[in-house]
Amino acid sequence: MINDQSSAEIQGTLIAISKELLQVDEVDPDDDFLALGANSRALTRMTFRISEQFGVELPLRTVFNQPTVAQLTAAIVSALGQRDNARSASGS
Amino acid sequence: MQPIVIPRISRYEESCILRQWLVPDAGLVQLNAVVAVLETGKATFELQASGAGVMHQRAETGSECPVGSTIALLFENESARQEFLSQHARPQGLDQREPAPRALLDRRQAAVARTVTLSHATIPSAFLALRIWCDRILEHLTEVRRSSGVFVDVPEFLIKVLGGLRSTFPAFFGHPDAASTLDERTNVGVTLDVGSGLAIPVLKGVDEKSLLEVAQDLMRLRELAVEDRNDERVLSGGQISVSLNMERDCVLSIPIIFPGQTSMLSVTGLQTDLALNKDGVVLARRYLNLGVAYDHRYINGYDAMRFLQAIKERVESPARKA
Repeated sequence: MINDQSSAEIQGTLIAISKELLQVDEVDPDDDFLALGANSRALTRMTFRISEQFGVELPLRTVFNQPTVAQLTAAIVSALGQRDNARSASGS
Repeated sequence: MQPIVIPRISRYEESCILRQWLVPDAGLVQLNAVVAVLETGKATFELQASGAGVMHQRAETGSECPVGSTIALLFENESARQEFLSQHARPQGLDQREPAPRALLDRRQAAVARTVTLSHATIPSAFLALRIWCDRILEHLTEVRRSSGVFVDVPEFLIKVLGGLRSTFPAFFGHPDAASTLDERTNVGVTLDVGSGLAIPVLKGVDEKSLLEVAQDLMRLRELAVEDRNDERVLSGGQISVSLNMERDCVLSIPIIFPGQTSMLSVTGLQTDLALNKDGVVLARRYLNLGVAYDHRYINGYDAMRFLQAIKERVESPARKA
């Protein structure tokens, strides 16, 4: 279940996605994607992949303005928490 | 017998797609009745009959129909149509040609296909490229991102640079007959493909905007593209376009020239070059290839070289005001 994923699991998945999209062998959590050769098209694709993988839709500019695995992990954890809180409040 | 002919719908469209017949073969057509839906690169139109009679279709749904071509005939009555049929074998596709494979294309790619075909058929283009050294601009943009919190990369900077070059290089900013050329603002189209197909939304008034404002405008266009909300207002009015092909290892891209424009820039991926400094130490330097496809009727190679050199100077010296 997505909401059972730990930050470490999310981070590991993001690293795998980043390596694939950026076509690099290594990605550290604090590496700036732009320094690794990312362009706007790669970052847009990452936004879609995050939505598919984790079931949360981060705003495009969040991915563009927080272009590291560590920052995006925090953003995803926050978005998942907000989603779960909303579901609890609505009783679903 | 009266023909139903494809009218000229816009200045730069030499053909359109027959999207839908609204009256079947042998159906009765009233004067001014809407008989078909046509689609150009920008919009759909309803085609009205200029006469009345019995419909005899001559073009398939999904086929490309040149301006002035006859897509249907109207007969006085069904017996006249049958007599015509007995004398003429039914054409296989418009003007006996194989129908274009439009049915295989979605709406957006069909529009791309028409634009690309029109460009290649009507604009005699040439192409020139220069190497742009990028270490200084990349450091500069990293600093701008850190200090402003706004996403700024090479395309944003390049678009801002273009905003300052129109007065010096007017021939690169729009066909002399294009309505967009009359706009005093500088409007730059940029290729965006976010996975749902290619679009060229236009950043308006880049000559009046700061780099950060250009970056924020481009981000908004990306968001509209992701949401598939680019409409005619966003896609029109460009005087020059930029084709972004910054994928890793992409070294050359020769773009089309958008009808109504006279040039399109292309930006390729960052590459690394090794060089010796004056002390004999090996240095890694990053660069990209910046190219321009230009309408050779209005622009010569020397002009294209000067234009690219002006961009190169500004990108390689980013501290200078773009």
